Amino acid sequence: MLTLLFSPKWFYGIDIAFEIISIIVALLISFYSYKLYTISKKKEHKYFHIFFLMIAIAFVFKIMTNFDLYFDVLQTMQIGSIQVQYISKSLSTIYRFGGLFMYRLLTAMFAYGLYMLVNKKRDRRDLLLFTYFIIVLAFLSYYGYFLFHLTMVMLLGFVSYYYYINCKKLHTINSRLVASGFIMLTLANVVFAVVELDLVLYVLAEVLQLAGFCLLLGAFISVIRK
Amino acid sequence: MRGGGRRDRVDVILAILETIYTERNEAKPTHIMYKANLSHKLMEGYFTELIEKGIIEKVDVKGKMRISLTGKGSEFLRELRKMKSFMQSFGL
Repeated sequence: MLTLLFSPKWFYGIDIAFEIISIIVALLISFYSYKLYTISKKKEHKYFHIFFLMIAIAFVFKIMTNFDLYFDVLQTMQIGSIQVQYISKSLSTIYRFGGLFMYRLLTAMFAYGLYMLVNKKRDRRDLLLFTYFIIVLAFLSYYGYFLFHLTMVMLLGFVSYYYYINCKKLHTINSRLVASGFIMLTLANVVFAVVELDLVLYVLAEVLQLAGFCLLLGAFISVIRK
Repeated sequence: MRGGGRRDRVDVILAILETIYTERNEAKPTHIMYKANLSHKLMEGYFTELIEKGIIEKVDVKGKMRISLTGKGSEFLRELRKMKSFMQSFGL
């Protein structure tokens, strides 16, 4: 049987709250990038807006899938004085597969899109080839949780490296926050990749991911409040 | 702008508005042209667009034409500075 649920029971719902915060941060960055695009008319700004919108939608899919999984585990039935906890089959496996597939597809496209953007890669053949690989990855990672996260570590690792160089060049607090944010997101994926070892690792990965988005929020607020 | 590459619209508009701001809101068009590093044709194109959008205006100072920021223009300059900072921080 495939393991889809790695969260400790006490953490049910808390991770959903973490994801909601990440959605808000991603949407703020996405809409600000769109505002920037309306003035600059640069494709890079439009793509940046789309990629952050993608990660926000990806988290919506993750929340929907997790909510369904938690609901199943927690569903109880009262038979006389006996309370029975059972696994509901009300929502099909296809729904979960679809939810996880969309979450992983959009997350991988976000990471790959940023990788392309920061490395100034514009070749359409590369784009088509990698889009195909990302779809295959999202499909196959249903059967191998770590596969998806290892790929994310690679992509976000390169993005983090770019932001680290950018930070060294600019020496500003904002650039430090952005670089730290992406390093945190990379580390979160390292932990997500080995989450099967212990349920507590899932909590650690979620905390690192939240920290990553909070650092990006810090950079965003710092820019806006100037 | 990175590595001396082509400037984008935000950089050019920001350079125009910063020049007007530093020249106490009464900038000579030629100063703007030199400081923003624009050709006369390009500068006129930007002027037309910014005047249409109510960001800058042509004013008469002792019989000489000067360019100044409108109230909306000052607000827009603040917004552009934030955008530039966002672009740099996020490596765009």
